[in-house]
Amino acid sequence: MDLLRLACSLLLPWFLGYLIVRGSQSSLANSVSSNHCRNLGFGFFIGYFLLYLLIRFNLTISGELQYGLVIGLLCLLLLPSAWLAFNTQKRKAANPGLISLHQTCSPSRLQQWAIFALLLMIALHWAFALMETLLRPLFPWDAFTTWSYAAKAWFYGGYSEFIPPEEWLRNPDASQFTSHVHQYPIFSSLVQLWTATSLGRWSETLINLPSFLAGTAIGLALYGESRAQGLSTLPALLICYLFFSIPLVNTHLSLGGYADIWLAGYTGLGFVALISGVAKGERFTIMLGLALTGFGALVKFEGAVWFLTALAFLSFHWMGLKRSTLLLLVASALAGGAYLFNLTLIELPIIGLVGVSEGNLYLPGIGLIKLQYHNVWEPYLQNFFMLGSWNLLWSALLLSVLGCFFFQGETRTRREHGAALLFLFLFVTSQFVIFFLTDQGRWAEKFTSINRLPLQFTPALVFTLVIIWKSKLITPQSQGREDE
Amino acid sequence: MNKLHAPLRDYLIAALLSAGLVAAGLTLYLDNRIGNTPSPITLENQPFRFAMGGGNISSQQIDIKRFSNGLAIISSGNLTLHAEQLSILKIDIDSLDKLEEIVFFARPKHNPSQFIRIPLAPGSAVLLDLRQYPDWQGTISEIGFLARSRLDGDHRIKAFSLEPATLSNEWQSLISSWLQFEPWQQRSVNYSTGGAREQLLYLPSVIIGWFLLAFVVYGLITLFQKRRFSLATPLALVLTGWLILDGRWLLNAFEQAKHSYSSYAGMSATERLKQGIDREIMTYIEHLKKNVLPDTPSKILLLTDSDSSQYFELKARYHLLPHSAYVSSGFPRKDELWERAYILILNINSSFVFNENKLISMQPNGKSRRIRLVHKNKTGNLLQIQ
Repeated sequence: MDLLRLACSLLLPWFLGYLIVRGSQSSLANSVSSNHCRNLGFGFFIGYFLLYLLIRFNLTISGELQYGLVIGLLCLLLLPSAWLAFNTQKRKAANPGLISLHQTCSPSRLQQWAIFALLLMIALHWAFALMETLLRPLFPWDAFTTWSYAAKAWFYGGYSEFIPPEEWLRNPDASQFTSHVHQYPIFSSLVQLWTATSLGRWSETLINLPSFLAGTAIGLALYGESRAQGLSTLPALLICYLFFSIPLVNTHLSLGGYADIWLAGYTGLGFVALISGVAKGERFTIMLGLALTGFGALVKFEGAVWFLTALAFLSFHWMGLKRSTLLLLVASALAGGAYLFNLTLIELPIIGLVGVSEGNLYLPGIGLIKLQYHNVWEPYLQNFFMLGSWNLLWSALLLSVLGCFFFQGETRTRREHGAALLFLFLFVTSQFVIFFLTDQGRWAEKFTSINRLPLQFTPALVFTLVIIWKSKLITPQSQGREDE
Repeated sequence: MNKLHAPLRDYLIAALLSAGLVAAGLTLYLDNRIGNTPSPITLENQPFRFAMGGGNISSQQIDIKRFSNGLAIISSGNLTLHAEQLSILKIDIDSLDKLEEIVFFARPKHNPSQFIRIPLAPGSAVLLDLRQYPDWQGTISEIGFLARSRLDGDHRIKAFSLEPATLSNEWQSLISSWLQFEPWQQRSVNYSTGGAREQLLYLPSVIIGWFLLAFVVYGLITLFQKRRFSLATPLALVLTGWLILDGRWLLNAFEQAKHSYSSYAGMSATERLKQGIDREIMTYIEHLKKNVLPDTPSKILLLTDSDSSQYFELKARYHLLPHSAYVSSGFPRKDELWERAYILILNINSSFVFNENKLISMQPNGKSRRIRLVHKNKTGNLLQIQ
């Protein structure tokens, strides 16, 4: 009974998210190429964000998580979402692009074998990760020190905001908890709290089921989005397999408790939607991407930086290469001028301090970052091309970027390649600034964030391969037919 | 028919020719590393004995059964060997998951007070190339094994040999380093080495070299046959490399799954928490929560030294919930000591010296507050502020 309740509690937000994505694109978008896998994948993260908002709302009004209230509100939201999603007449008229996953032409015998082999490989990865999730008690360091610690504290002790250690030491109240990272976002902790509350007890294994589902949803979204791009079952499954077979992804699915896999959903899939939306000119998909990357800011601090990166992606895309270059030149000239006139730090109303002062970079919403050069080429070389964390992802991406320049196709392909390259450029720039130019470089030297930050982009990095090689992977039989 | 098979033929030629070239290159490279080849040291020709702990030693295997103060040391006694000449360690150890640690050690002749420590990986038979350890050099005057466990049990070194590097050994060592089981560790969420921690050449870099060479071969084929360069072949080559690396990962995942299944399947939640290195701390925390601490949540300060990894303290903090605990490497200031709050000091980290008398004699503000020892055993000391 407990497990049934848990299953319902974990699947309900997912289903709600699915209905919202399906319904809203039917209502808002004129033509969006979509499918159920895509909607399920993106819907998972929309649904869990809604769950997070409802829990926060519940905590704000009552100070404790009330299972009945949150599940009731979720059920209440199901009604309009279902109406929106299953309003078939409207959807049919408004969304001619919705395609089914059936192919017009059957795959050849060889392709069928390849599809079977890929499904088997994906299933193996999935099964090993599920087995570890269900067998091994909470394992990773940051999980039992930070993310799951908060969830467990609230499950047993009731919800209360964590206080700084200095305050905890002065305060005799034993109902308050503390942590060195007391100001961290609490998204993944609240999801674990929800899981334990649904189950009615704290489980060292089952609390990680949502992160496992998050990884599964990313796989579904990648498959669905690849199909929506016009790929047939085989290459779309291949993309899905590439994602699941990245060892670091597999590890985070097996050893749950970190928030990075969630951010891979919000930021990573957010960028998938942005690249796809920009490449196909679909406003709804762009909005979906922007929303997901925005929600990522509530999952981990770096999510805010990735959201700014997403805004930069859209700005540069809409401005085009010439105007973007001009803007960068003007910005550089202004920065140079400000430096000459010693105006490197300004305080803006509401926003706060912005600029550079005494070796520190001040950014709105993020705070102070110490500027410091770290030569981390070697850690990058080791982690991306020698060790076993990434399989051949970085080599494949490097070759794909080269391929972009060698195999330029028609205008549409150039636009798609432009979107993929712009994303990669911003990704590389962000990593360069963080690890080469700030004190965060020490985490690159220790082989920690150097891998975990790119992990948050993994879905988009894998999807970039789709965008770059799409024109070579699409065969006439790839095109889907209209649904219903 | 010929046209249909042309991409497959090109792929096979490029892949196999490139694999042959890479293998030849590796063989030359490995051959260059081989020096003199003295006789190997094995359990048969080298008498080992227990310096600490106890068990049985035969010419076939070493059985470790008893630990004294958590340690068992097996030593070769005095010998003379040149590290550069005997650099391949072959070993097979059983029941490693119950051991906290097992290392192969060596004492350099020029600096007898220092030990070279080589941690041994759990699982099946391993082959280690000791030249990857910078300290493995010069003349060695003693070798042996150091095992650490808080509980007696059956642990077995089933095979051991220290051999010279031969071409066959070099290849075995390289392949063994690629295939070595990499169990879940705290660093796993950050990175995976993909096999042994130290490798002469990492498999992904060899695969990258292979497919880049295969691209060149394929490029030459198309150039000489005046055919169009097709993307399918390079893509298939990269995919082949990906599948090889994934095969290695899946083998590791399978081994890990077997390990996890044998460690946790069919156990209750509490039993699972007591597996591996957490056993002692979990038993202790369970005892404290059941028998010593009050049912209502209390504040607990976990004191540790700043050099400690704090693993056990942080684990204790997590499992002490709903008691509100905090790990600190500094003693609280006088105004930070609250009445009836607890101070917990774990003894698992031996580097932290706990001066019980000094702590108990502290009287914050010089007033009436005292600190009393509430509970003490081999794992920790629980004190309460009065």
